[in-house]
Amino acid sequence: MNDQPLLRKILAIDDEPGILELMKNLLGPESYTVLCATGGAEGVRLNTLENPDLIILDLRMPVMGGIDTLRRIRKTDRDVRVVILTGYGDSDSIRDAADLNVSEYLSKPFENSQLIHVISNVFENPIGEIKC
Amino acid sequence: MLELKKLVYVPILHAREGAAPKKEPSAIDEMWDGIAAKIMGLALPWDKTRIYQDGLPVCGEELKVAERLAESGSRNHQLILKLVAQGAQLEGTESMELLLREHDLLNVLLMKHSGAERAAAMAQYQAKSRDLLKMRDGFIFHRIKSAILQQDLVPLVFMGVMHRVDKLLEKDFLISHVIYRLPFSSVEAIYN
Repeated sequence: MNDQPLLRKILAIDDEPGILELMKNLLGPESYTVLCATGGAEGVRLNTLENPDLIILDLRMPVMGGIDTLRRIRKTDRDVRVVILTGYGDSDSIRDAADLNVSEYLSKPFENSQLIHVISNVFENPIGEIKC
Repeated sequence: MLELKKLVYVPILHAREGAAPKKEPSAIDEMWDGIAAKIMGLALPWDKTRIYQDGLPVCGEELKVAERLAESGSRNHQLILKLVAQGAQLEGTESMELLLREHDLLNVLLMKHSGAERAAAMAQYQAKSRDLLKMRDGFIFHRIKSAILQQDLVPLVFMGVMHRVDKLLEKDFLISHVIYRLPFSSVEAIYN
């Protein structure tokens, strides 16, 4: 029997390959399994296939932006935890994030240790819809 | 071409902190530490900066209200006092009458403790508060616009994330957002 604990799965969705590589290098050693999608459509597909515990989502992506991506994900998955990362935050996307039950909205640039801390904090809180 | 005036907009999450002393900073504490660092980094002309604060009524006692809330542990108001010490001026922001109506709605909600009662009260609060929020936002917008547009001043606006004052202000001001992190999952509910 395999007694090894299951690693938590994190799906990173970002159009910048450098950011995805950073996520792998940063979160892999923290005992997370990191899956990567280079766009919204691929992210929606991987979420359905892999059922991750958490999604790290970039807001600004070509073709399908972060909020559109999350709207599609939420049609079938109300529970997955989501951390939004953005370098271009504004009130509209914050309100959308609140409506779509996002766990954290984090502004770039961020320290690596900060992202690890935020993810750990998100896993400490129970899954549930924020009332707004 | 007329150049738009700059306005600094800080979306915030309201959270009620427990009275017990904390061993380590909460996510809300960290949000405020990050906001404070970013605002200080802006190097605003403090003597020309006017602070507008969600929930602060126009009452002539604005600074005293902020001092009382800062003393009771509000990180938001502790930051405001720091900025006032730098030379910024705190302005009454909201209509007292509308705020009292909001507080009445919120009190009804907070007095319901059982799950089913609370859920029904939350739905009622959301419906009534939505209309009230529009009126509050209209008041805040006129308050800022009338005070700032004719003068060489920089408004610094702390506003709960569900307000939509930014949508009204963006016609007259170039809005620059200050966002560090918004830990939605660390708060029980987002109040207006």
